[in-house]
Amino acid sequence: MSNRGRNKRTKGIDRAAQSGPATPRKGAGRVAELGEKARELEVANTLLKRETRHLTLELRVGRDAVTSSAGLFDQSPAALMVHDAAGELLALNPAARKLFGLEAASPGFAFPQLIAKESLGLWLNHFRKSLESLAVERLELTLRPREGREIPVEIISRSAPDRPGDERRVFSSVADLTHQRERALALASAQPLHEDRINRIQGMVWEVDVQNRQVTFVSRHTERLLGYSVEAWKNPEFWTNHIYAEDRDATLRRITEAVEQRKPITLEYRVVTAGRRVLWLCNKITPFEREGRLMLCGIAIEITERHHREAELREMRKELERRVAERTAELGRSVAELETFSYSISHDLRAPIRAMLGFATLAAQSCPGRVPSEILGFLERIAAGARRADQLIQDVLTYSRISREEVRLEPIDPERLVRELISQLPDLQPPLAEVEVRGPMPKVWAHEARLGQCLSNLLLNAAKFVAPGQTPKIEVGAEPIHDKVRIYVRDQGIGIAPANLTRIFRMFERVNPAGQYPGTGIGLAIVSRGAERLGGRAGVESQPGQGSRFWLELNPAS
Amino acid sequence: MMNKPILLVEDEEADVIFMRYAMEWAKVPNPLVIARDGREAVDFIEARGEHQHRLGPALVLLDLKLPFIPGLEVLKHIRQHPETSRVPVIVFSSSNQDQDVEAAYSLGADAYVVKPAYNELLEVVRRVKLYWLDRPHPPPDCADWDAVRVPPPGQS
Repeated sequence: MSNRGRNKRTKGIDRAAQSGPATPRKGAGRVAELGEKARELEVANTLLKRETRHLTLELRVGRDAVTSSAGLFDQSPAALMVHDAAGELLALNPAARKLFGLEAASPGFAFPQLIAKESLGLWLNHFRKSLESLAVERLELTLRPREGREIPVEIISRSAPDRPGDERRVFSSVADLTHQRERALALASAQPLHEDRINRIQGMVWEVDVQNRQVTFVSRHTERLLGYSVEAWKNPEFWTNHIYAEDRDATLRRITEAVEQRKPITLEYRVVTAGRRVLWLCNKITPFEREGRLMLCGIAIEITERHHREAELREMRKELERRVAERTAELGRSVAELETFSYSISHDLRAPIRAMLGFATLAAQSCPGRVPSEILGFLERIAAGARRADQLIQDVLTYSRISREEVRLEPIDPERLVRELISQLPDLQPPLAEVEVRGPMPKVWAHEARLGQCLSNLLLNAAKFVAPGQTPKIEVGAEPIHDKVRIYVRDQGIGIAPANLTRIFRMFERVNPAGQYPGTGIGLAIVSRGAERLGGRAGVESQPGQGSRFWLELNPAS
Repeated sequence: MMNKPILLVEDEEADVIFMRYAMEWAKVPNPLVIARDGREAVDFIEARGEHQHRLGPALVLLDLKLPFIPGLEVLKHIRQHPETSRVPVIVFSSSNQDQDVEAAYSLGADAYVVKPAYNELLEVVRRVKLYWLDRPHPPPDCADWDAVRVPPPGQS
């Protein structure tokens, strides 16, 4: 309740009552008169009090919504006060009393009592402006409700008449700014600590307003690293101008892209320091929005040394590639030489051998019946030597060709191939040999000519290595072994001692005397190498005197 | 046709001798003209110099590895010269390399034979006489001849 306002009004009425006409009387009559007068006054007072309350309520809340507004005025957590045009305080709500540190009844209180002398002018000015205009006026002041206590407040005032034509009154709310000030103060004191931390980072932390290219923050490390003062960056063009000319366009283009896509990027580019040195930076840039403004922030670290090392590495890699290319070319030349060599061996080396063989044959035939048998024997040895030399050359050439030539694998039916080979090899025809082909055989990945070469070498070996006078019995078949196919050639020949089982696949290795079983010792090396080139391998199981079982293990083609 | 010569282009003396003996053995009636290098062979084909008045050959037996002008080059000349463009040419080479066989056939050789040992040469020459001299052309499919030649690539 605004006691103060009521008191004042009551006082005013008292004053009016006192200043009314009074007739002096004497004695009991006067006492009765006075008693009556007092009763009248009391009635009037009661009426006035009622009216005062009524007016006060109206005053507080305006013309409408009498009771609820009165409650609002009293219950409002905001401090509210009402002055009349003369600056007389008309009403004060409990929140205001509390804020001003007033007792429930504080006769004679006036708001300016709380204001420091030097600020009084501000308040009077504010009050006058509020009265004169219809606008809302604001003022920040410091109140001193008692010694040693200061309350920063914001006063918001507006004037309005109680009723049309009435005198204007000034309605004010007084907001305590103490907490707000403390928070601002705390914030202000936190800022330097924050910046201090960022400034200690060994990286350039920065922030740019995209719209005006204004640098809104750079950390101190920038100064240390690039030599420009932090202030220099405030110039909007500065940060783009310090990018190394060659890198500028690409860097800015990529930043623009990042801004458009709102995606962070990492850029590496060069900058020019105040000392005209060129440094490499790695800048991690993040676009973001703050209060509707597009911003970029980032952290840049120096990577000059890393870049130099990378350049060195690139140089080394180039050198390495150059060397590899050189070696490859050398190797290519070697292969070409080898091919030329093979070619000339097949031509030039074989020509004289063919001549030896031819003339030995011619000589033996030249004078039929008149050449001594001893001479015929010599001629036969010349011819045999020539034949062997020729075979050796051919086998070496075959072996080197198998090692060298690229083969393209395709599915091959081994059974068909075996049957074709047998029909073409005279030594495998009956009665010279008995060959049994056990079909069908699964298709394998192979190369027709290479597989044919391997198989015919195995078949001819099987026919060759039998005890003298025996007819070779050969069995050819195929069987799956794990995920491979084994094509085998089984004979009932002389067999191989365990110690020799691996030797026989090596070049020029022979385990039987040449006189007994002629050959160059290359045939099985060709088989082994050939199988490898087909993606498989070759092997043998054997017992001396009980025959051998040679096999080729290849990949199935189904 | 009987008196038309057979041109043997061969620089290896031993092979010339073997061919002479083999022809004698096979009773080939045609005279044998020897060109010992590519240049001489081309002169003969194009009837130049001492070969001005030569008779066109009935058959050419051509080695590939020759001095001055390689055999394949000689083969081109044979096919380009109107008088010899249709003469049967049998390449006799010590090479059995695919690229040689392929090149010879693609330049118009009628057959390719890898130079055999003397004994086999007799058989080859016998068949040359039979299929390339006694008849106008070899039968398209003749196992007897196929046994001694290297087939063109793609045929087996």
